Amino acid sequence: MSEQNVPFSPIAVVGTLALLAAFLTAAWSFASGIAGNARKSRRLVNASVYGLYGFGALIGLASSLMIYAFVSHDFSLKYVANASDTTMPTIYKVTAFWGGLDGSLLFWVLVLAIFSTIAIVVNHKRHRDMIGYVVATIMAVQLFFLSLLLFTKNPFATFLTTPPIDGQGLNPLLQNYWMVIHPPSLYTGFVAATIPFAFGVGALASGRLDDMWLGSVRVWMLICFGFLSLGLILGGRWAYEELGWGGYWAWDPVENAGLMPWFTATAFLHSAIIQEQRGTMKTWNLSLVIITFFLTVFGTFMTRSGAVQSVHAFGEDNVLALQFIVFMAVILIVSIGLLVYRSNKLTARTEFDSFYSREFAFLLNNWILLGCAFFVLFATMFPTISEAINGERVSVGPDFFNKWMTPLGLVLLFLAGAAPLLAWRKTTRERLINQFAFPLAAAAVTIIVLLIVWPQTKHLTPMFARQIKLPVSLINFGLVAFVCASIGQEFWRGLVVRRRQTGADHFSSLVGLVLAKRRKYGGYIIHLGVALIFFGFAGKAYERMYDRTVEKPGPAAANGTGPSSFGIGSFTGPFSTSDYYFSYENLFHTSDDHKDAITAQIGIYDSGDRIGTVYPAKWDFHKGDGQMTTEVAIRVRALEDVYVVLTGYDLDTSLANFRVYINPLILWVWTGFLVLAFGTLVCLIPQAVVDRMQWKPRTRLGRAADVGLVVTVVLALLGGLASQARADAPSGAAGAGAEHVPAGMGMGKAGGGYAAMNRPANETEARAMKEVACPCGCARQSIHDCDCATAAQLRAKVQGLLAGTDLSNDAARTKAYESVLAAFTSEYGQKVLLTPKSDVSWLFPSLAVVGGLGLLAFAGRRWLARGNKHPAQPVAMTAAAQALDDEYADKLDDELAETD
Amino acid sequence: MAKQPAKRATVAEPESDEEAAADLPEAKVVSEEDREDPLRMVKLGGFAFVLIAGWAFVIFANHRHITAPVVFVCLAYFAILMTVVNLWRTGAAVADARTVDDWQRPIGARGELLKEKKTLLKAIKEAEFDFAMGKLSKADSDALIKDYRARAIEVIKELDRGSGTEKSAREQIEAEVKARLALDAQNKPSKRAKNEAAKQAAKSASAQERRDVADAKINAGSVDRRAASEPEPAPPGEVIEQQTAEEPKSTATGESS
Repeated sequence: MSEQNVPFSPIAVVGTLALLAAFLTAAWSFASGIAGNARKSRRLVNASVYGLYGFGALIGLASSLMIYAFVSHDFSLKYVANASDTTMPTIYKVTAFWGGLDGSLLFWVLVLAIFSTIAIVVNHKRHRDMIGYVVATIMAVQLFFLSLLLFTKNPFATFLTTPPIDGQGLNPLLQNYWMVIHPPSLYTGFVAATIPFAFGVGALASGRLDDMWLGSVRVWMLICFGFLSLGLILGGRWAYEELGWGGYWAWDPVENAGLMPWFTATAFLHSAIIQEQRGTMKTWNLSLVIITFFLTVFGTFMTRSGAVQSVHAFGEDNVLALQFIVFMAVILIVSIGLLVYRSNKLTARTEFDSFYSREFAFLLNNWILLGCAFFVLFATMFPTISEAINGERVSVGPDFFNKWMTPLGLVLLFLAGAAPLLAWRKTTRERLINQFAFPLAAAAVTIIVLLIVWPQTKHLTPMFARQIKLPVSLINFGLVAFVCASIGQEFWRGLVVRRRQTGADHFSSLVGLVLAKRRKYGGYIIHLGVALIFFGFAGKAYERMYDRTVEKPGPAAANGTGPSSFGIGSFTGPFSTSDYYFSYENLFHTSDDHKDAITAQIGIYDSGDRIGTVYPAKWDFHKGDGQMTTEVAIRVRALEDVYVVLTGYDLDTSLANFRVYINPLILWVWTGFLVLAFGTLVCLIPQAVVDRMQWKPRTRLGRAADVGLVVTVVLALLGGLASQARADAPSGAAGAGAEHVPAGMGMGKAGGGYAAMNRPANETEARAMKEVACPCGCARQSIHDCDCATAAQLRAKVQGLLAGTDLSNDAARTKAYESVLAAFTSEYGQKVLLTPKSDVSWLFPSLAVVGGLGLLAFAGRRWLARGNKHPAQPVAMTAAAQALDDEYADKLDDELAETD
Repeated sequence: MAKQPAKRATVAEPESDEEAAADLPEAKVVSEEDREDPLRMVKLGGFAFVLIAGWAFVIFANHRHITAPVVFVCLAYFAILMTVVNLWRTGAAVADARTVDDWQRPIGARGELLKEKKTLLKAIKEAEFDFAMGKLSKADSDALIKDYRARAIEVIKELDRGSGTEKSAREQIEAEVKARLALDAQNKPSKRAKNEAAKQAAKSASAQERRDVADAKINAGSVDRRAASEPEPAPPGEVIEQQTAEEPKSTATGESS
């Protein structure tokens, strides 16, 4: 090879040097942090802190150079050539930085560098006696990721021969608004868990295990919780808009990777309150901090090693997997070792006064959240575990997760409403009745009204096992009402008390109440958001899917009917009945430098009134390896979304296949998140901000302006979310071109189209089709839902197997269903089923749930016994001492008068 | 008393309890170097000049078109400057002989007590609030508040002790005696109490007689003085007087200490 063929990229050289320098700086900072803290040398500790800042600057340099390479089309870098091209919009060139595996690791290091800089700047004086250990811990994590970058996945690697003139472009699925913000928010959530972990290790190593550590860690864990929530909801929104299957959550391994640390972070936020109130559960809280961080690393391992299969995962890499395993082992060994080493300082005896106390409710909440995290971990890794044990990989579909997570989620929802009603230490029977009366009444009324107005809610759903069936929707709606009533009662009663105390008007009292007790009331707002999210979840059980084919577009009558229209029948949704008609009005073929777009124009009518025009489309990116993306069209309504997908077309004849989903209540999932985010922000308001605010009642105009501002912001966010949920109309209305649709894209006769072919004719066929996974590589959909040709063929096979079988009673139907599954597993293996059939898959979670509850009951009784054995003894004081104390009591009263 | 190092970082006392107990680093450890660096603004100005000059160069080199590549080149330049500054500070920190190894917590014990006091005050308010909202019964609320108040009073006492506003031992004894006498004056002694007092007085008198006899025998050199001189237990109020009265006697009899 001649010298002039080897490309030289100054960006690659400088970028790699920056990473090398960062590695050395991190190593120095790590060593000086530990040495400084251990030897109590302020100089070394200061040096490690500045080293951390310098490390951050070097990573900033490397990241800037990487993004510069993207925006300046430096295709001599392999990473840039694989993830970008000259035609991509600039915003996607920037976001391509974290689109691939190499860049995502560098992005992780960058975000952690930013966060750690902020954390150290804010805390290095307050925690100066352990900051060296904190810095060292952060640098250790950075060293691991940098070693991956330098020795395994260098994003600055260049081609050894002549680089390509143009790149391959970003995966079309990632060229989406939500993908711009979803990965950064999720990574931020992951990275934010590192800071509490570093402080935890620092506290253990230095022996400073008082509550001061807890205060700092709690804030960062709240940030972690907030960003993880944002990342998860944005991922769901992306899936809803981009994948075209009508849903937003499929228990995909990559989704689960973000959910597991969310559970443990939430658990920590609750148990930290117990530690602050009672001084107990120190070991538990430290363990939760460690587990949360471990799960973030484990989630990263899952998505980058090939341990699990997912459309979202980066692919298989055994070397990377081994490196992650070693790192996780080191985390566990060091953390557990430190916990054992400091166990003598962590032995505060846990004790409770009553089961009817907020402490116990929080404890129960913790156990369930932890249980959820480990169940999701178990179920996500079950395919890998089964393959390791018996050589056969099984599939675990959404149904398996839902059977367990739904009831656990409902218990958590109940606790979200019940815990605020309980007092610390003990709630007497009389107080219990007083507190629970209204919320329980609200739940009861809701259930009764629903039974009358919307009888579909009586539908029984299997929980834990197919044999156990409950009216889950009804329970869900009842609990939502319970939580909303509980939170509303808390706000109302708090407002009344506050008004009595301060004499202020309603609005000022409400603002004062929330700001004075923002951790409590911010938490209540978060609970309200969770309730709204569950309200949205409840609608999932009532979604409907329809496949229709229209031969040619044309105008419709005023009420939407016509030869080019199709209806889906009357749909009874939550409190309303809709009679939808869809008029197929046009089919456009447009093209630009980036892609070809086939767009249909659909008018939507409800009960004869036109409610909107939508443009579902298929996009064929020039650089997309022939993979077309689905651009769904969504008409958002308060109680349901009308979701239209163009599943197939014929440009010659203008025939089009459509799939329509009616998704009840889904708007409330997004709305609930907005409320949750607002509550998180309230909790994060610093004391300094509260101190500066005026406490006197403001003018009416001022109060009105405040309310208006808040409402405007919320509506703007909501409107922004809603406006994005719509496929763009084509820029120019081009006539149908002469271009034929490639084979397999829905050509066929009227009523054809793969999505519409071989639809189930009875419940047994539908049940069997929903259990069989489509092998086409879609988002783990069943053959019932997938719209590809393979799914259509397999549906036909199911119908063939059931043809002529007896389906007259339950036993016969079950036998027929089992025979279909047996036929598929004998041909394709266990992995074809979405619900694993092995005993371990239900035995392990069952034992865990029963065992966990049993252990909690046993421990709870023991702690209760401890609490009752040591009642508060009245201090016997002499009269003289009493007089002296009276003086201090007056002092205390003065201070109480100044405390809000 | 703790040994004082030759140089100490000055700990700025918080102006108020609230300031000391707030979350932000209110107890500023003002190190010597921060206070005495007159060139700090000069350095900041120099940094800003170099930064802006570099950016201006980049923008002008690109014919004043601010495109995406230009933005990231400017960011990269800023990162280079920050790298240089912080790596310099890293080395300087190690070499800085003026740095004091003040390993003491910045807030110190007083700050922790202030934080505990604030926590207890909030807990009392929370309990009162919960009672007002109907979550706690009166009995539970009172018990909880009493417990918190007792702990808070102890913390305030501890704070006063630390700040030197606590009374001296003599003042405390005088206050106790005063309070006790006042209490005694308030309480009308019952007949039973009077009888009890008389009995105690009689016992004391007989004990005193026994001591006199024992002294006499000791002087004669034939009795175990220690057994005979054990006084009867007496109420606290009287102990002071008795002890005060006995000491000179012990001294007078020439007992070895």
